[in-house]
Amino acid sequence: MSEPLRVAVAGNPNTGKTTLFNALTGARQRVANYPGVTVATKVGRCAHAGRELIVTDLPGTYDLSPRSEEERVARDAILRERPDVLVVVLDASNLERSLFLGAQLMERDLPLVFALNMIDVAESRGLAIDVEGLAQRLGAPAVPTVATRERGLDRLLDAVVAVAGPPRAAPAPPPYGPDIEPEIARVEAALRAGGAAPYPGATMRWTAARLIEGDAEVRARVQAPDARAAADQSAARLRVRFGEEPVIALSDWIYGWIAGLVREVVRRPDRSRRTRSDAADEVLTHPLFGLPIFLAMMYLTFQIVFLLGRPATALIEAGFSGLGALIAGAWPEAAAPLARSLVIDGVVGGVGGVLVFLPNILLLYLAVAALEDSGYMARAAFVVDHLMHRIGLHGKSFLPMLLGFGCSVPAILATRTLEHRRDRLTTMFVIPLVSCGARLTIYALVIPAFFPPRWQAPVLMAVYLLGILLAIGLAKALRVFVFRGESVPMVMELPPYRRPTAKGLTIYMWQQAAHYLRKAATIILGVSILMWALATFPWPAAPAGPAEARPASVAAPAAPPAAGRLEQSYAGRIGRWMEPALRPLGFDWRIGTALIGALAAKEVFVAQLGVVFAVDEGDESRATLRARLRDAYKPLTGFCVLLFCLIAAPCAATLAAVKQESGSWGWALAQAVGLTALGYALTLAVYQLGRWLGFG
Amino acid sequence: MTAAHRPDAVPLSRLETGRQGRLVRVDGGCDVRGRLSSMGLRCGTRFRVLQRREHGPCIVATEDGRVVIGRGLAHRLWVEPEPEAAPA
Repeated sequence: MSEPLRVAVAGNPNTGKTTLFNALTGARQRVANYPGVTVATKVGRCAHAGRELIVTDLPGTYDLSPRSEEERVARDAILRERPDVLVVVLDASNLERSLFLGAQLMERDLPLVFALNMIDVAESRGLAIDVEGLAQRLGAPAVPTVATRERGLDRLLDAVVAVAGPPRAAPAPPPYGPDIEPEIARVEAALRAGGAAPYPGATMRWTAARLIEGDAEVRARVQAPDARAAADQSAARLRVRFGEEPVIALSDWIYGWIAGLVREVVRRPDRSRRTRSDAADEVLTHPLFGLPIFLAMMYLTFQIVFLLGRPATALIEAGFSGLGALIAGAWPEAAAPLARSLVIDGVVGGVGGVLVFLPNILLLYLAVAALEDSGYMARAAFVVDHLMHRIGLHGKSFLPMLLGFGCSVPAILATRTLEHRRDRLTTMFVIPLVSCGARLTIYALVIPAFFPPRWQAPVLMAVYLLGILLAIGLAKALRVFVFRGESVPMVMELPPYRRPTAKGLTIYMWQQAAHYLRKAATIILGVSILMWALATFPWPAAPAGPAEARPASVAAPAAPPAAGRLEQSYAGRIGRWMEPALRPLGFDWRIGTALIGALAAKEVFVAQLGVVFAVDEGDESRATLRARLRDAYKPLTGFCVLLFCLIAAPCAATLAAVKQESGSWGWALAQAVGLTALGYALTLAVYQLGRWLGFG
Repeated sequence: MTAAHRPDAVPLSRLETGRQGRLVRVDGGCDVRGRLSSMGLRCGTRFRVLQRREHGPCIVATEDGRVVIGRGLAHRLWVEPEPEAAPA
């Protein structure tokens, strides 16, 4: 068999590009990612006509000037990796718009195949497309497809294999007209005189055109000073000729070329007329009802996440404690007690404690993917835009912050929808202030311990609201002091409403599950073992007591249940060592150890406190732990614990996500230090003020 | 094509809901203009205001689709209002 064919799929957002990719490759995909909010590329495989195809799904982009991170990724992939064939997914119902990217790709001397996707939508809108005529004018095959129903895929793959050659068939670049063409030729000549092409994946013509447009990235890579000078002169002449910046003049020309082409091959009714999508928008984005509808949708999402997730969560929880008990029963205490403790308390307890949340996370993603695919998310961004502007952020920042109520990690990944890095970093920074599900376990332990029933709900609400207010204040402060400058103007497409496909949602959910499981098996397992070791070593010469037989509780990765021994462990010693710093906040070494555990995952705080107070986990014992907390601390300390856990020290997974998404440890560290300092300062102020007022 | 002064042009932010207009000028750099034109809003484009929030963003309908335009940007898009009659 010949070499596998490397195929890349490019297209505008909302053209069904990812659906087409899924339909082509099925579940045979490599990289897990987030639909609609993807930047990293996905790779899948399929076979056709005796050839193996390696298919890459590029991020959805409108053009290839690197304005947003998606565009940069797509451009890099095409320039550097240079696929054998490029499939350009066009929205058949909106050819004029989606052909702009197509025209830019035609400048690359790559074999292209155009997929006229959503041809059914085009037909239902009364568009008649002369497919043959279109292919002829573009100089590349055009194949009508309906990715959602897997129609036209065979013909598309036929065309892909055919253009790959031999003979290889690349279309001619689109013409720039009598004023611009001579300028391009001039710069091209200067480039040729200056030596090799700056990019292996680009022609001299393409490089010349980008130089004239003043593309900073291309300019930086062009060595020949003559070519740059020639480009400057050409740009100056075009500026005089058109009264516009060259980049506008060139794209206007391409738009004109496309408009003419589309007029020749498409007959269509006017689309500015009212559609059913518009009718739906009049309700869903109504000035008065839009916000309540949005809130109701969110409430529904949370209900789905927590209510529907509960039975599955309970099942997994029971499964892990059963597994722990099984191992504890089968493995005699005397035989390798250290390894036994590691398996039961460290591995089963730690990783199990995290896997318990898998159902919630899957449900959250299912709900979000459904909202995104249906087109509602764009409307939600419109509805909350006004509120978000007060903070100096876009409406689009709202979605990630909202996800933060579930877990900060997906929330941080979801900032990929934001085009501007400044907005992304600001949003990422404040997301940990939104109380995540893990912190709810802390609140659920601490609030009933110190507050009478009628105060419990208000206190919980106050903690959540305080987090949101702090997030707003901090975002504003970051925009004023760190990320100065005008906010990027908001322009956002509202795609027509669409029914999400079961296949798309399933593939997405499966990818999420794989991603989460991989994380549990790597980072979380490692941290659990580390935490276990800190709480276990130095290993005592004689076993500390009968509590060794304790079945592993799912939420408790820490090992030795006896407080006296724990105090001697490294975790206990660190707690003691931290005490001078924690004392002014009203915390003692026991809370200190729990706070160290919370660095791994916030839930660990509760488990660790349980261990410290030497209380076995279980339904009645939770009350006992609460009673002990009540005896040991004043309500003021309880409130300070809430405050500190809300603000300070984002968990390790959050920091890892910030590092991954911001591309540097610097920003993750700045966030950890900044938020911890803020939490410390606020808690200190509250505790000292409270004591002065006589609450201590 | 030059940004000639048009006495009857108003910022998009002042165009009432339901009114139609033609985009005649964009105050802003290449970045903004490129972004707009990639979304189907170019000089000469006709559109209709579907919704408009007081001090907020608006939704416009073009022949290509529906686009949300933030308040700040709407101040910088100059349009020539057209009579209420439907376009050809």
